[in-house]
Amino acid sequence: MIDLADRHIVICCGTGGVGKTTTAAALAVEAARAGRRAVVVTIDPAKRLADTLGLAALSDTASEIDPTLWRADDGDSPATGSLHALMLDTKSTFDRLVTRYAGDEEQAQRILGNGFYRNVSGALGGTQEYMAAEKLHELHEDGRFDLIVVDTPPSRHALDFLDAPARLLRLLDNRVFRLLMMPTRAYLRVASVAVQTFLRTVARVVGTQVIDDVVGFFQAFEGMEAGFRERAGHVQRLISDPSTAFVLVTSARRDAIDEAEFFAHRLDESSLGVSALIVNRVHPEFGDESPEGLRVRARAFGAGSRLALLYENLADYRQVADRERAAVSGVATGVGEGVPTVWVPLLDHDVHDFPSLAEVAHHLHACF
Amino acid sequence: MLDRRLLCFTGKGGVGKSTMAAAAALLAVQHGKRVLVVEVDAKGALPALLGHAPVGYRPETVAPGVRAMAMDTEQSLREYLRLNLRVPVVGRIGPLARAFDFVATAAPGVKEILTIGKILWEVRAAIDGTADHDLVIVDAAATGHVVSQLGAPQSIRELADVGPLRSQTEWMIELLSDPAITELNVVTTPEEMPVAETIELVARVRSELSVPLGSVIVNRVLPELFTRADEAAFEAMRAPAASEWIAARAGAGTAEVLDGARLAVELRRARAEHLDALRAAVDLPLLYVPYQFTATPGLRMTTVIAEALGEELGL
Ligand SMILES: Nc1ncnc2c1ncn2[C@@H]1O[C@H](COP(=O)(O)OP(=O)(O)OP(=O)(O)O)[C@@H](O)[C@H]1O
Ligand SMILES: Nc1ncnc2c1ncn2[C@@H]1O[C@H](COP(=O)(O)OP(=O)(O)OP(=O)(O)O)[C@@H](O)[C@H]1O
Ligand SMILES: [Mg+2]
Ligand SMILES: [Mg+2]
Repeated sequence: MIDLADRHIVICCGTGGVGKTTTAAALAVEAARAGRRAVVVTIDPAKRLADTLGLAALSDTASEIDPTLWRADDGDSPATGSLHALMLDTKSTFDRLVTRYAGDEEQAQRILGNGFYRNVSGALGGTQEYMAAEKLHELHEDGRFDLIVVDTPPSRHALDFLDAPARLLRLLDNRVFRLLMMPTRAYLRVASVAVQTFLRTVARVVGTQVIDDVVGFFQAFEGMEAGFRERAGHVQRLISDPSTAFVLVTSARRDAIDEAEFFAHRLDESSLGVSALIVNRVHPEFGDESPEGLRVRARAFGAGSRLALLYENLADYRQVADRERAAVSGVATGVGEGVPTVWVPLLDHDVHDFPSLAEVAHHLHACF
Repeated sequence: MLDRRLLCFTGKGGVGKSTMAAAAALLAVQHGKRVLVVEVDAKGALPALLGHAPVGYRPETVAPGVRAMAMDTEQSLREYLRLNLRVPVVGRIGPLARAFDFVATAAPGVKEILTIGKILWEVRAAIDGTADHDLVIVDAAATGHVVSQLGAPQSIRELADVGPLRSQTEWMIELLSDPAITELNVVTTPEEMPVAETIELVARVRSELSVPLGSVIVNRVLPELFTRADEAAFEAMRAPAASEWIAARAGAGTAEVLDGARLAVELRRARAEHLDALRAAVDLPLLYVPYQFTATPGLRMTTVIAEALGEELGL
């Protein structure tokens, strides 16, 4: 069972394609059904799921979903529950952040129009991860929600989300950054030989425009740095607050599990804990007869016969199920003793409407 | 496919890009080619698919006829500086690395051009006959990033006002645009998101790049075991009388057998829908690679997949 009763924020992490978006949506629906005022931040949801959540238009502010769509049929849902959803828009979240911390409209416009800013504010280099965290903070301050469920971007590494605020701070700490804050081109005199060579080479390679943009950006940024730093600190604190839960999603495949264990280890190092492990899309076991035994039986029916195909098919699925269970065994110790683990079976249909979200939620055994 | 000089494999995360790149390498060797496999965005997973330990930037032989390397933009930069600009190799890595990271964030295409530049360098060497390989196979970046990677020479040409690289983009674009040399293949699975990304990618490649598209490889395809009539029969077999009759002949476990069949049928049906969407939207040749129930990742599985791929290609 996943106990989220005391949690204010739930972050769904995991490597690409394991079911983070699905899980985040399912948890939010279940929480709303249990009477919480829930909001879910999704990132690039599948089109049909987006439609279900009313996210057809690019909507990066929370909009409410009609309760008649998601309330349990049995009428058991407390009336207090509500469900909001939104889709993260990295660029506009970043733009709002800039506008908020800019001294005046002119400074904001200078930054928003800068070439370097346009590059970093796109989906590059962990910005999406940082903006997901930033969105979390925005919704936290909003005050309307008592449960914020956040999806994370389809990174190769689940860790990218955790590292994002630090990376932004590192960008501000960069020695080159400080050099670039100097009056135009003065940096070329003070920089070490290596950096000088490098900058000149880059200028030769991609043109001086790029370097000028970078310099222009940091000059425009002057004075906002402290605000950004403070904000990154707030975000980091929110993420490490005891009322924030990390829910780790994995598939039953070795590579995804390795990634989950690695991530859990890193959370542990940062004194954050994994609140639950979700092993998603697990093939059903279909009894306990060995695949080999089933294949022997299949052969006895005569090659190509319908019954042989049936038993071969079962043998195939039994073999996958066994391999998955072997891959998953030991994961409980890998992510930390006592971390609740739930298995969600591979459903025979996609999860893109409320009934199937409820079906996933049913297997999550989460209590709110 | 194998007559090209550069084969790239892209697709959504986890669909099987590395597996297909490795399988294509095996196929190429079987057809007498010497191959260099380049792992971009390296997870270090590819050599293992050919039964070898991870490799670094310097190519290593990982299987008979196959050398592999992991892309590293910093190393590529050093090589570039040394070979092209005659900049002496900068001794201290620390500041260079940090400055590099910084400027690479600022300048779109710096990392990308170093990646594609190195790859095309190797392609040119293959064409000139000065390399130890005839064919370069790239386990490329995922769909989200591959357009900016393959498009780097184009964007640099538009961006760079000066510099040797601008003139260098010419031969790069020429190689990348030549259908006799380059082929970009998209790997997908018959699932909603991978199909959606494939459709979007094919459209973007066509409108933004001049890189020739090869095939869409549909991976993890489930076999079509049963007909509609079978399905109806299976459902009928769930009736108590029928299942007793079967149990008497086939032994216990009938319910599991039917459950297994139902899952196979339903999964296949859901996937068929996504496949239809793919077929309707993309006019490239589709190559189907079956789901491997029995194998675990490694040389053996790659060999089986290479065989399936070869069959689809009519080799
Ligand atoms: N238990 C399940 N059974 C069947 N299908 C599932 C299950 N969980 C998720 N799916 C399906 O798997 C696909 C991938 O899920 P999802 O989009 O949630 O993954 P993700 O981790 O968010 O992926 P990404 O990293 O690309 O963002 C979706 O099409 C979803 O409908
Ligand atoms: N036809 C198949 N049948 C069964 N499993 C497969 C098949 N093709 C690939 N796989 C498995 O799927 C997983 C992902 O494959 P692979 O690593 O090739 O994908 P990828 O696209 O390179 O992933 P990434 O984006 O993480 O680099 C591996 O465990 C691989 O063994
Ligand atoms: Mg997702
Ligand atoms: Mg790969």
